[in-house]
Amino acid sequence: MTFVDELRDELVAAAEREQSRRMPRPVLPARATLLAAGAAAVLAMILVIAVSSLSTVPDRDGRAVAVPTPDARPLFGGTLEPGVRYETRAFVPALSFVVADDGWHANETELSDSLLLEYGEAWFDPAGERRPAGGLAFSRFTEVYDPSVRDLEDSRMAAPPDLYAWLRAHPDLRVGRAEQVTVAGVPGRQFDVEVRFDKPARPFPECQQLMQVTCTTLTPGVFIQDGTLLRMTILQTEPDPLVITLNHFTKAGLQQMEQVASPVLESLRIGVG
Amino acid sequence: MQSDEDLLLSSDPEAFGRFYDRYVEMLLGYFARRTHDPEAAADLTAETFAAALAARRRFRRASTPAAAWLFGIAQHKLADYGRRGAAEDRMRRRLGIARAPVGEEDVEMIALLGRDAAWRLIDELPPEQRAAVRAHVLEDRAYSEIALEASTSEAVVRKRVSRGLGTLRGKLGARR
Repeated sequence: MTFVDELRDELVAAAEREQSRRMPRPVLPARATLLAAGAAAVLAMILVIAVSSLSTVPDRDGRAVAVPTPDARPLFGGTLEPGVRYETRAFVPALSFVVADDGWHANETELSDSLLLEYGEAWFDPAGERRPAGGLAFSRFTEVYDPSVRDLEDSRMAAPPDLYAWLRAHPDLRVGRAEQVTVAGVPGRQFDVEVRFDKPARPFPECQQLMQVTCTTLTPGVFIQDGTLLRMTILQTEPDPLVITLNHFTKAGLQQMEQVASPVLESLRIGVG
Repeated sequence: MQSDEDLLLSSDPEAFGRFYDRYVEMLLGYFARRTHDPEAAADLTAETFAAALAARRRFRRASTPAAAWLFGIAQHKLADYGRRGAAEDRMRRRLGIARAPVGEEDVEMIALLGRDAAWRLIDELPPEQRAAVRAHVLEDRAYSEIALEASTSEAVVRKRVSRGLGTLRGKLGARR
């Protein structure tokens, strides 16, 4: 066996190990939730029986045959089709939504704590810097990086109960006032954030190493370039707050993101599946 | 055929193997030419793919072609090698990847790739792509610098590099 073949086997085995580690963590529901879920399951079964009796056509012998009644399509990475309801496969809590046009692209669809929908193409700013497409991210902040601790790994800590207050105190962010909002029937707070730093208090070395840009990082898996504008919404969901973030590099871009994301958020269902 | 980006982001472990198949020879040749040491080229190639595997979830499809992203990692690994005098193995250790032995035949093959693959195949590219790939991938020059020299935009240079690498990948793949 040659070096090239052996290295290939090692990498594929490592990819398998990595994949198994990325399976979503089980979330144990509370006892009351279990009872409610049991009741809901019974109700759902009754509904399924009722719906299947409606969704039938006679076969050649005149017997009723079930016709598939597709609802949500599982969400995989790639371009999204307008008008189709997509349902996440790994994110906790499960999400489902519909996009209104064909500019959306799904990324990170296999993570239990992060989902990224990008809109449009990357572009160049007047200084020639390449900027990523605008994005709509869904995240659960279970951990954050404390900007006052020097070493990145040492700075990892459990997410604070008041995430908004923690973000306001972050030296790499300028956080606006929060407004009460309701998304998918869940109450929460929405506010604007400007990422602004000369030298980030919480730098993320891999950004420089892999993409030749400087970033700050807030939580594992979330790293943001200087100048990024965000509109964040923190919803009070279980097991952790759900953070919905719109991002772009310009105010006009963020406004456009708000417009194109509006149908997605209006169609959003949380905790389906 | 699946794109590089699809392979890189796929949840199927074998897809990363196919991404590897497309670029392993090109990377071995790249490192062999720069280090003149086939064993170091093998270690750097292994560490580059390990880093790509570890970081692939952060790869943004819209931000840069997967091949250019991979070569960006390779450049950093090469720079580390220049500073340390040895290829690091941090990512391989993190992922539990054993060091694949480099036999005599491997040494010959890697040396050959260093001599032939990169330069001969690059010579077969259309002139503009050839110049862009040489300047950016083999000479580590910035897109902005190449654009200035060629009196064109950075976006055009990026496109030429991307297309050139895509053509090279096809040529190398066809020879496997």
